[in-house]
Amino acid sequence: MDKYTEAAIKIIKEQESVIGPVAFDLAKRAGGINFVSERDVTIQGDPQNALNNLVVQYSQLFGRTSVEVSKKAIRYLVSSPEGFTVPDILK
Amino acid sequence: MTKLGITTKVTVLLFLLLTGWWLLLRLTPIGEDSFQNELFSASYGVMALWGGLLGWRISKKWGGVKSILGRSIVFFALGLLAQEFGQLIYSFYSLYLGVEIPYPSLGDLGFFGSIPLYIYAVWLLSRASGVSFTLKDGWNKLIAILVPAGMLYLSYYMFLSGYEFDFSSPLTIALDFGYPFGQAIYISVALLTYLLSKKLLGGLMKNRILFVLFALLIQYLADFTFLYMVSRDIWDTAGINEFMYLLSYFVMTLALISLNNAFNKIKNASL
Repeated sequence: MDKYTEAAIKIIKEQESVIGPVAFDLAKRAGGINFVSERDVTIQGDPQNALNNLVVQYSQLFGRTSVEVSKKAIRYLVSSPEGFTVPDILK
Repeated sequence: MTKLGITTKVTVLLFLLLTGWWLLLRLTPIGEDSFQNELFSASYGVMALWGGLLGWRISKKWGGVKSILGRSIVFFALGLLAQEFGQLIYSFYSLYLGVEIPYPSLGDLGFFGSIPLYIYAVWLLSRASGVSFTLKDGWNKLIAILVPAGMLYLSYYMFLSGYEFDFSSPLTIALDFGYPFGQAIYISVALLTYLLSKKLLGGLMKNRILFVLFALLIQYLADFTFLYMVSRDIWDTAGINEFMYLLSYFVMTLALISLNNAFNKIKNASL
């Protein structure tokens, strides 16, 4: 699994811990995030753009708080950035 | 008409009916009959029961106890149900047994029990609102200390200064301190949630979370007024304080319904 897909899954799971299963409904509407099963995703197209779309979806719910929750979810990936460029919205 | 619309209408109708009943007792000679007052006092808690049951159902949509927001709604619902439990037990003493309500009594299990339930519920709401992200700031840390300290002092000053300890009844002492201090804690967490999250919180949920905090403020005002009136021996059955409780249950129910509204908005893809 590449780091962008890992980041997407981590963000969705972190959001799920706050808002429940509706986190998946919002993720399904983010452009570039494809669900291959109930909980497994792949990224289509520009991965940074896909992560950006995902975070924007959640931020419609709680605003900047949702962005901070997403940042927290991928903090460990940011600390070892090989093969991963942090999207602007999560900087 | 949507299902949610019906729920809101039932809530408003219930409130209007109970308010009409209360006004009848306050403004006409019917209120001179103590049984009528006791009957109202035993009945208006149905609003808390309705809100509690609705809240329970709404929480499931948000993931129930498995999510922070769902768990917060569960505990607000339990708080409402605990209030109704307290109301029913108090009324059992006064209406059925025809005796003065003992203190402490089983009813306090409901009334006092609602305090930790509300504290936990609002603490979870503060987490969902992102308060923890703002606590890195030194000024915010100071606010997080000063607000509870101020509220605890206010409660002590209003209700406990000059308190005479009777160690033969330790449970009474625990409740005498527990009520005002516990209420000061839940309102402090609500105020902190508002103050510390206002720069961060946005989106669809912002106003809905503020609505829940507002509902908690009304609950606090009702609790504060109850303690004030009882301590000055001016509390009366079916009086203004009971209406304040009815209002607080109503507003909390509407606040929980607004969270249901938000969920439906997401599900219907109108977000």
